[in-house]
Amino acid sequence: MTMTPEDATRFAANLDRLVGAVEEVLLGKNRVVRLAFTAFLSEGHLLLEDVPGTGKTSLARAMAQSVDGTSNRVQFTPDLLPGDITGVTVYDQRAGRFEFHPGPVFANIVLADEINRASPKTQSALLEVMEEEQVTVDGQTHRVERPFMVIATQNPVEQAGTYRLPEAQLDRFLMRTSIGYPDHASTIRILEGADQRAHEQLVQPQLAAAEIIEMAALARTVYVDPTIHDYVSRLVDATRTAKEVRLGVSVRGALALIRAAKTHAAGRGRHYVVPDDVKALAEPVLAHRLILDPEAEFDGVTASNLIAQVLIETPPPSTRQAV
Amino acid sequence: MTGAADAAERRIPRPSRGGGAGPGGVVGDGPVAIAMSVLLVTALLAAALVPWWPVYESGAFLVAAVVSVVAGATIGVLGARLRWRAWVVVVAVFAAYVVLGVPVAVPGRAVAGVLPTPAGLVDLLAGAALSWKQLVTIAVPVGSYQALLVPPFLLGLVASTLAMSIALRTRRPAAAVLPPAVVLVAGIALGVVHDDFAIEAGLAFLVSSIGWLVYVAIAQRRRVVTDRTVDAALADVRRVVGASALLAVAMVGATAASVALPMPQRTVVRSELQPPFEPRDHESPLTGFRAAFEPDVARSEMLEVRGLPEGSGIRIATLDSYDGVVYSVGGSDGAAASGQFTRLPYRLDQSTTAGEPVRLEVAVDAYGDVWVPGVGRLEQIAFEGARSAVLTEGFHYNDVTGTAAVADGLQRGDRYVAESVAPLPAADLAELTPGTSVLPAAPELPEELQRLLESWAPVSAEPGARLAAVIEGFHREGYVSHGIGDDEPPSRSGHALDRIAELASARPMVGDGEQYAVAAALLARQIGFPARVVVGYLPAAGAAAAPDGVRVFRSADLQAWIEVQDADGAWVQVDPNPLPRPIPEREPDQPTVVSRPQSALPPPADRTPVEDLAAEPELSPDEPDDDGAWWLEGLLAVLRVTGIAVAVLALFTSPFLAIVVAKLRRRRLRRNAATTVERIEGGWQEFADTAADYGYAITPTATRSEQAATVGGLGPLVLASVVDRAVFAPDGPAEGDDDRVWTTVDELQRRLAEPRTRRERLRAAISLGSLGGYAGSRRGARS
Repeated sequence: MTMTPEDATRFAANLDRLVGAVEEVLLGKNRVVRLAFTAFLSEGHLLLEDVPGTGKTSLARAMAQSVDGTSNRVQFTPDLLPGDITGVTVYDQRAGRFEFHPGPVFANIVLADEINRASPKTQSALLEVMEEEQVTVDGQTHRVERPFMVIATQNPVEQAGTYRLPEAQLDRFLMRTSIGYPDHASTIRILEGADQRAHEQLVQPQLAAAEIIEMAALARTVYVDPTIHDYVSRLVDATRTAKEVRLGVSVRGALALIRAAKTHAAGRGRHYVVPDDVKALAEPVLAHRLILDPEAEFDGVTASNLIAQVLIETPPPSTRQAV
Repeated sequence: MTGAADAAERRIPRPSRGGGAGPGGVVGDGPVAIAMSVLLVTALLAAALVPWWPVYESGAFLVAAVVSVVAGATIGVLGARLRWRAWVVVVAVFAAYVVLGVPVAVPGRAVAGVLPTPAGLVDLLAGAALSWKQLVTIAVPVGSYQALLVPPFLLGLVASTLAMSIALRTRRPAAAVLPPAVVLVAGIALGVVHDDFAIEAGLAFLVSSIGWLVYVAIAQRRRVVTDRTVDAALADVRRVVGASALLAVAMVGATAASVALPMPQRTVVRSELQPPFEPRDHESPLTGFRAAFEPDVARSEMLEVRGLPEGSGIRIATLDSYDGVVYSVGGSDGAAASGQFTRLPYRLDQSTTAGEPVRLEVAVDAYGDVWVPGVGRLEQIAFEGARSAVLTEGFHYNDVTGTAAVADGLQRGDRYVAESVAPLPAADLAELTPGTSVLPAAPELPEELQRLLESWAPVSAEPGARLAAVIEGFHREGYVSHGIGDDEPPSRSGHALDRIAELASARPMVGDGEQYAVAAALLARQIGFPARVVVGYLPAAGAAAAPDGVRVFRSADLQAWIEVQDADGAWVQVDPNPLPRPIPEREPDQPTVVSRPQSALPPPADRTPVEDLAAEPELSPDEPDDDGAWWLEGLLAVLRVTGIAVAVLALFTSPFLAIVVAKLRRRRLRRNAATTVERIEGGWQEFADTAADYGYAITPTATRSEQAATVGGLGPLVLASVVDRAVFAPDGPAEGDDDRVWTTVDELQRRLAEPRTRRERLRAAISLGSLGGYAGSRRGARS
């Protein structure tokens, strides 16, 4: 089944409502908010590389409120244990049995703050939940809530005492981006409303969680022309053959890009993907999946620069594939 | 679709031309960019200097050209690299001019060919103002004569500096073709009428110009798309290939035109200037012919000549203009038919002239005229004696007629040495074939001469045989009498048509060289030979040169003969004068049988001959349908000039027309593509190409939306989304979408053109921006 133009129009309207609602809390960050919802509706997870105080928690909380869902925040520390995230089984003396106490991952949107401060074991526990959307404790499997999304953050400046996320685990995040500081006008507006703490601001629910699941299912039906598949394939090929790259984008990365592009297209009211959708999401979807050559890194090459260069060098499709 | 576009913004913002070139200029300031710029600009200048070569034909010119271009390029590059201010560049150019100018442009004034002398500096500085006029009033080639190398040296230096500065420092490096273009135009204007390398020089400049423009276009695109890759480089290659294809079309067109069309004679400054020597101001040497035989002067020694070939005479002047009264020396109006009197710098190249080299040493005795006697075609002349400087300064030579003159006239005691190429001995006249030279028009042949021709040389014979028969006729029936002495029968002087008619009809036929030469020349021309009269001294029959090789010519040795042109271009001397012999008694007048009305004689002698020639030299008063012929010839002349002008215009505009035609064909192919979606894709490409031609940085790896954003406005964005939907949506385009897209494309193209001037629209129409690279890349994107 393929999405119809009418479905696309309705999808875009709903997304605009969600974005608009969150934007009332996170001022001047339309692109990041839209990206976050794109990841959410693509059933992926988001990695934010940001310094403290840029509104990560507000974003997670506002997104959860907008979809009438739940959100939890976990501050990752070196002594955080896997059970502190997934939950633990406790013996209930009165009932005489073990009871499962769900951890903070049991929410629609989980904010894993400074994920790189926890030990690799704890990180792996979270990443397993992200991949499988379920928790297994003492032999019992517990499914997390749906829709489910993890927004993890990393501090790109302070690296001391941190455990860098392995590349294989970075690959599990659909996108990586940063919120960044607000612009001047937005900062003024934030300061004008300083008497109200950000997390106290309430966002009116725009959609039910069930509707989000429907939207995600609908986004998967967006049409992708074979020339777009070819374009994505050429893009990831280019990341593998670039001399500055030690490890290029995996097939999972290419699939993630197509998945995100579908949602992006629907969010623009289209029932088909165009090259602009791919280009718009290439950097947040692909950049964190690259491993650069150390010499290139030493020369100042960044993954984002390299993706931008690949986009410049790879001509997008402009003609319909001959039948 | 159209409605959406109409609702879009009406105004499409202009691109920021030049792409924000930094101080280093658009083409960049790296070593490779500078080297490429120097290479291409130098090629431009080299091509622009080609038309100057025929003016000099000397190694000194090559040195001056190379030094000027290298010095100018060095100043330009240093100025760009070191950010010199304009006045510093000007000072540097002046310094280079002063330091390098003397050894390069005035080598005769340099010590050991290198060190400038004060006199050389004065000549150099004065040459900047005075040498231009001298250059166009002197016979070419001029070699390194005096300061005549100053114009190309100065122009090359300034143009090279300007071109390099424009190329490396400005936001419009394409304008670097302008200074070399000025050098090219100056070379043509100050050059020669017939340039053997005209087409080659033009094409070389065209190739260099397009090479530079393509390079600039590629450099500008590189500023948009940084860090070139293979695909981008391929796009550049396609651009170069596209330009090369256009060049090929232009070259084929130019070559075909040069072969198919008659090469028109150039109008250059040299041909338009009034010649410094005016032969009209001097009496024709034929008018005083009879006076040379007056008893009191007949024995006067006129010239002493050493080195004259045995039996050969010496020419005073060649006369090719006849107005029915006086045969005179032509070339007063600069007409190509009679050549032109120009100054002779040091030597003429006569290597293509057939004949034997002759070195004449001439000492002037009683001879006193402006015409300088000589033989054949002059190569070099050196005056000696006290008046050598004056004579050298006033010497002029007409290489077409082989006539030389000095403004102040020769005097007793003057001496000169002339190196010439003497014509080969006359071949058998009967084997001659008329040449193709065009001479000034002559009047209608008198009836008497016409009858004489018919009786001696029937039309049925070959031209050579007819000419031989005419000469034989004069030899057979003619008698020589100057009509001066008592012992000579009457013989009227003069060579007006009535006298020539009298010569032809009188029996016995009596006259002297003056009449026989004119009559023979007229008859030869009537047969079809280009013929002209030569006045000179011929050795008396049987007279031998002195033992020391010196031949003395006396006044009575004056003679007139003719020379006719053979098909190989050589002028063959023919003497129609009969040998002196007793003259029989005059026959009684016989009634003349009049077969048709007599031709009216030409205007009376009191009219100035030259005025007659200038008036209507080719008109015959008894021509009944003169008016019709005049109109017809006028019309044909206008058509010929118009045709040549159109052909030249077409030649120069052919590359641009080729671009326009290529774009029209591209549009037609897109508009009539096989499928609806292809027509829609073609519509977008047409719009994007138009935008590229207007200077928008349409990058080949951008999506349609990005390209639309480059142009700006809502209309292009709407069109991009419509085309994207047709291409990428599962249901494809609807019926009629292609027409709507093309309607929108036309509308957007109109909006792009609307705010621009006619010049900008013309520049976009002939822009190479959308040809080759861009379109090719789009095709390459198809997968």
